[in-house]
Amino acid sequence: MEKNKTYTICPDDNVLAQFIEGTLSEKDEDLVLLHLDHCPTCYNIVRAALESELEEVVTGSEQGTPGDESIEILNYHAAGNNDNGQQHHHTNKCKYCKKDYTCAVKVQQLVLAEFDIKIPEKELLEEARQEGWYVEGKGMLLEHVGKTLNKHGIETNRIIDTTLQELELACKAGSKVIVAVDSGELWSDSPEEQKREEQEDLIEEIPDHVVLVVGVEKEGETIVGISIQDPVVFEGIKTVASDVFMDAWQDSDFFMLKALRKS
Amino acid sequence: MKSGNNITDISTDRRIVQNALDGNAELLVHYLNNNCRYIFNRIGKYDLKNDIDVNSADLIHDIYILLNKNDWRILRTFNFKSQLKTWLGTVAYRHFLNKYRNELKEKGRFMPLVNETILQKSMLNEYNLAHSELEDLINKLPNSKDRKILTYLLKGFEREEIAEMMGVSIKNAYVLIHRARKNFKKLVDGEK
Repeated sequence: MEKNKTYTICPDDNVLAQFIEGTLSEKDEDLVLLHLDHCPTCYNIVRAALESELEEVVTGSEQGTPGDESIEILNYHAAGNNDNGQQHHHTNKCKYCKKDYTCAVKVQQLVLAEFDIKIPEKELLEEARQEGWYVEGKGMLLEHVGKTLNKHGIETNRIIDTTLQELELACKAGSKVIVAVDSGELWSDSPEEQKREEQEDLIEEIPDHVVLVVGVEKEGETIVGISIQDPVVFEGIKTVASDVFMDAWQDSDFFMLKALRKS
Repeated sequence: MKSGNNITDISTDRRIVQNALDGNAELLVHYLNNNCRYIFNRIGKYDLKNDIDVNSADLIHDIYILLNKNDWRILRTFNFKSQLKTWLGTVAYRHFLNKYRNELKEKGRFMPLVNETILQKSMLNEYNLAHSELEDLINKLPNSKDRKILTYLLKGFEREEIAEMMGVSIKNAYVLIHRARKNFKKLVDGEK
């Protein structure tokens, strides 16, 4: 690479590929990082490549060397299917959901009720099962969360990388806000559990649970607590310290689904 | 490194590219189908399928046409300093981002959705690594930034703090943390 190159134009794809693999020199890496700061296209390329490479690595580590079976599964997904019960990870890590992993259905039922749409959980579960959004014993993929609401005429908006301030605004605007969290980080209270959660986060962050955010608590201008409804864990509303909430929320890259209005 | 059908080493990459340039693109097509599906699955996470009516096979076909254009002009630019599939990934993402930029922006989906498959996969249970073992493995990583990032994570620093200590923006810290994790996983897989 040329000296003093600053990448005011996008770096060559060969350079980006080396950056993704971590084989550039430190100086060249710094130049790419400078460029990524102001180029959303390259930033998105790098981010998507890293996330998908990681996905591919994970697949490899699970299956040894993936053979025809994994290719079939990939083809299966490519064909638009979402449930093979093996490769597709669901929100089934959550120990609070026990064995049925129905948090996503329960939370959406709460939201529907807020819009005066009252449907029994059993019915919603069956509907989600038939649509392929929910898989028995495995739960619901984050990408399917919200589809129950849409089916019953509620408009939604999915966002990642949101902030507490945006969460506050959404609540103030009257939106019903579903967030994805690591349930262990949100609800674990023993030091041993918290330590285990920290170690898990070191390797991989796991959003395994969804809850409904109903408001924020402030001291002056500072948000100090988040009020949450979690029909799986408790009845009513609990307020969680904002730093605990942020740790748990961060695992989903601050994923927020806003239920806006009846369409 | 393990991959779709173990076609990953540089000599194989050269063979695939050279065969295509010599008029036999069968290996390249096979490679795109078997080793690069994950790239196109990822592109699907931009919700292209629902909004712009393309599927994975269309995307692969599209990228093949792009590489093949003007006597493989773009394929000829590959310099073999990275793995072929990493390079193909950057070419594919850039192509699709440029192609669908307006549609994605209009729909507010320029950024990809959260990658649940990755986020929901924990390695700790699988490998059951002690703190000292983690440190030892981290020190084996060849890239100094990867080592620094993982050491900071091990010490419990947050993304914002890591960004400050590394002298990078928070969004770049995200990228570096992801890369460090990816390389760490590869290393751990190699050690197994």
